[in-house]
Amino acid sequence: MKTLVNANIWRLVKAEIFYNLFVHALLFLTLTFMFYLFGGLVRDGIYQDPSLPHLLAVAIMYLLFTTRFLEKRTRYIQTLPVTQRELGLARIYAQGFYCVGALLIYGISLMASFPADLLTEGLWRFLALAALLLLGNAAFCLSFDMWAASSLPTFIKALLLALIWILILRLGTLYLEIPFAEGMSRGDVTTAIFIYKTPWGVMLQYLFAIVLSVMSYKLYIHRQSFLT
Amino acid sequence: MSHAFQITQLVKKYPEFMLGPLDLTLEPGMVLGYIGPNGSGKTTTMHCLTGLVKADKGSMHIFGRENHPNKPAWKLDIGYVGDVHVFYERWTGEKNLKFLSQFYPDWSDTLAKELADRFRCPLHKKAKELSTGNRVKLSLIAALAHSPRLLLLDEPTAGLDPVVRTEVLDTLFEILEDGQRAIFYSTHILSDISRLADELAFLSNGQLVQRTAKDDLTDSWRRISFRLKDKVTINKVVEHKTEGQDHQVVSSDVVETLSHLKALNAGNIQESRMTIDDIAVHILKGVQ
Repeated sequence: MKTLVNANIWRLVKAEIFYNLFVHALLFLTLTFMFYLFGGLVRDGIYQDPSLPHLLAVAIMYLLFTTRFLEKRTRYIQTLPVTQRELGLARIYAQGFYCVGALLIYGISLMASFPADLLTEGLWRFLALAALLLLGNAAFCLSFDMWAASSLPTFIKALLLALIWILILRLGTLYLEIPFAEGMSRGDVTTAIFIYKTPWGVMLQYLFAIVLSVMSYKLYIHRQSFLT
Repeated sequence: MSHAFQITQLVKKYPEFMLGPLDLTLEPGMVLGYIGPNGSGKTTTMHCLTGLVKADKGSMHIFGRENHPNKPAWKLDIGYVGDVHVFYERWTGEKNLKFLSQFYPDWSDTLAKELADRFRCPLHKKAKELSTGNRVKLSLIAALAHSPRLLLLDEPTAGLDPVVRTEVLDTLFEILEDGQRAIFYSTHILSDISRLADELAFLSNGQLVQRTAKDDLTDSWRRISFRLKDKVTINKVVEHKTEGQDHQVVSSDVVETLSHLKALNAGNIQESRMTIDDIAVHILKGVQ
């Protein structure tokens, strides 16, 4: 039976988590301090936009994603006696854990920024950013796997990836522009509200993240070369 | 009994290079040196065999089991050391080995420790702090600690200076001399493997040129000098130099060449044995 979790997958994911545990812990402490600081400044009306440290958290998390690929660990684990399917799933899960780290930090930020509205405004913001992060993560994995796919012409790969990233970056900028709604066009405000303030919009992002993750997984297990 | 590995009609195409069609087998307990110049397809063969690269055509079996990506039991039988030594860089050697040990039921911590002592490999250091030589040693320990029946070594000493290379190879060969494992050793430096190899397979431009027992090779190849007035084509000669009436040839079959020379009434015939490196150069030069 094809399981989604087994001992081998857990061993691989665990290694990935613990490998970056120190960096995560350091990041966690630093950003928590920063978010409390910014949260306090926002509450006191000294600083209006709490999104800057959030953006920083996301940027650092993405830098962490890249280390996995740059360190050629794909090649390292490829020779282990585990199935291609287990390797593919472990890879997706391990990258998902980076998002969990980012969300943990963001959750603390929300506690600091919206202590009174944590279960309303705070929860919505949390779910919205989680969707955006998972989407970005899935797009990141897909970018590597699509680029490594030898069956697609380079032009097609470049075009598809450009389209995906334009869409995701636009979603990201909309998220950041929400606090400044008065300066946005009517169309952008409608889209931003749908994507980040309605259950269907948030669900749509999660669905899109899952589709991209599945595509990434499929491309990975059908790769012709694992030398990266 | 199953072959240690059996490669059948393997083909792997790249834009400017094609390996195969390649047929190659190795029997359990035998050591096969895989010799060829850079870019001849040695590493591609290894990558296909280990599953790092998918072949376009053909099949590969390890001890009778196909190297299928979703039936990985065949990987338990192999220990692989490639030309690139990849680890969890911020982990110590010891922690890297601990990680690997979870996947191999036959992994022995005692053996790993013993190998580390013999190689004098500092397992307490982080992988990123290890010298190239020590990275090679760590790779070898990782490949050997689960006692694989087949060892795949792809130019493991590439990039090492001569002193460290000799040290690594001496220790490795001491460990491997028990003849318990089949070894497939790819290199372009024949002296690295000539001590241990039972057979040699020569690869050039993605094609297997020749496969022969090492002893047969050294017995049949000779450098022969003689005097003869005319310049004639001589049987089994792969290189022929003349200076007046003095000739010097390299023969791939000393018996046949000598018999031909005698028939031609050549004078002052002298033969000398060739080193295995010298023979390899001539074999590979002959197909280029």
